[in-house]
Amino acid sequence: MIVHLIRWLFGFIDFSVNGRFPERFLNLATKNGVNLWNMKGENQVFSASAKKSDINILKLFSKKTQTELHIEKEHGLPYHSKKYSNRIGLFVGLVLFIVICNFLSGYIWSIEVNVPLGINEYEIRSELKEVGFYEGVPLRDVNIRTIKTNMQLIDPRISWITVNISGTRAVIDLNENLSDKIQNDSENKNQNVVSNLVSKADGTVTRIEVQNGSSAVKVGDGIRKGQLLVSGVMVYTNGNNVLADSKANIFAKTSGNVKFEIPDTIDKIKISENTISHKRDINILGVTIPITFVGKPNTECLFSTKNEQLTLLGNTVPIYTKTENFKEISVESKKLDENQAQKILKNRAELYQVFLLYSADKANLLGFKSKCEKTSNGYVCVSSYELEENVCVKSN
Amino acid sequence: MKKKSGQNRIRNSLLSANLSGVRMDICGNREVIFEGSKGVLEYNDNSIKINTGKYIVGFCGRGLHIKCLNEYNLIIHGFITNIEYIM
Repeated sequence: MIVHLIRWLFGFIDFSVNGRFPERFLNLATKNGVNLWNMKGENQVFSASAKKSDINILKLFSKKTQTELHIEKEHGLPYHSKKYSNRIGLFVGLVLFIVICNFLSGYIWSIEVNVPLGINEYEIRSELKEVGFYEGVPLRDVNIRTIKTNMQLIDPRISWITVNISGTRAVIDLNENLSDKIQNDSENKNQNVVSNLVSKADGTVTRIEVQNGSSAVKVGDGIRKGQLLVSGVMVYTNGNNVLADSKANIFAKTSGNVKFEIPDTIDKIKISENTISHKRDINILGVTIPITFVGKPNTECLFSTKNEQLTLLGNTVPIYTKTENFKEISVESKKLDENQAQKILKNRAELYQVFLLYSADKANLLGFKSKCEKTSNGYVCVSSYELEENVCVKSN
Repeated sequence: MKKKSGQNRIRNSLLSANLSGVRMDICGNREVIFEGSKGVLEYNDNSIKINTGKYIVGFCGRGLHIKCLNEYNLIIHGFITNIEYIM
């Protein structure tokens, strides 16, 4: 196969010789170092293949031996490339292709970051950029050991990081540092900690669940903010005192008030469904090329941007598209009537209820009453609520 | 005396055979590797005759062709039925 490839690279011909004594031609050729192959002889016609460079000498032998030489077929690169000899652009393009491939293969163009839950990939990417590792960095400037060390120094969340480079693609894997979490757990389990639990709000005790410590209140007691609820000193019947880290859930009925206000005239922002303009850019290998030349409109508008990175066969490619959309908005002042104002205030109150339940510990909303009034400036809604929640907090 | 001269004759003939420089490796009746050729005298599908200088070696058969050929050596392929030495 290699022999055939070499013959094709240099070019060869299939020829036939006919005459009275083609054997004389054969002997002359072989005596003068001409290599022949694929030889066949029939009825005074002899055919074979020979190198392109031997054509002239074969023609000479043909004349000497008074035989007729016919070239049947031409094979090989010299004959194929003759067709394109006038097309210099092809040759230049081929050279440019080789040069550009060689040049581009000296840079990192794709970085894949695999992060555990709890760590944001884009934070890691921006930190990598700080330490000098980004898409478009020359391979010769990449020092993996330095990158790993610097990343662990600037981000204490990282306990282990690895950088694998394959061609122009880098894959980064990292693990989270769990030592803080382990330390917190061990601190909690430390039996030398002694603590009391106090109330975080005024209220009436409805339910007591004490796991560790001595309860200082009973169901039905009124409590004030800061009052001791569970003591860390446990007194046993035999007279011994034991100090403990208090743990308990003490539920109390608490109440509160909240006020919402809105003016009687509000600004209503209307977003147009039609997009005014799109601005598109393409970023290839770090070079941003604008596709559309559209500027930001002079009117008030809503601006949104979308960045996408292209992928090819599952691998990211260093080509990004950025699309900016501008939507027209209009602002109009509107005077609210009582029904509209009440509806808005009611919505705000309902939202506040959700916030209450979310922020309080194991809370249960017992009641929520709202009363809306018109004032000189606008409308006011005063809401009162009753909540049953866990009011225990550790005292300092 | 007669024995000695007979032995010398055999020795001389073997020596002369080696010095003549012709060697044939025949694989069955399909392939012949021929060393020491001085030219092809006849070449067609049924008969190939090779000049060795002192004699001519002729190969007869069917589908005979020279697979490769250079100044002194050649390889013949085909179905060989006869090999003859023409003095």
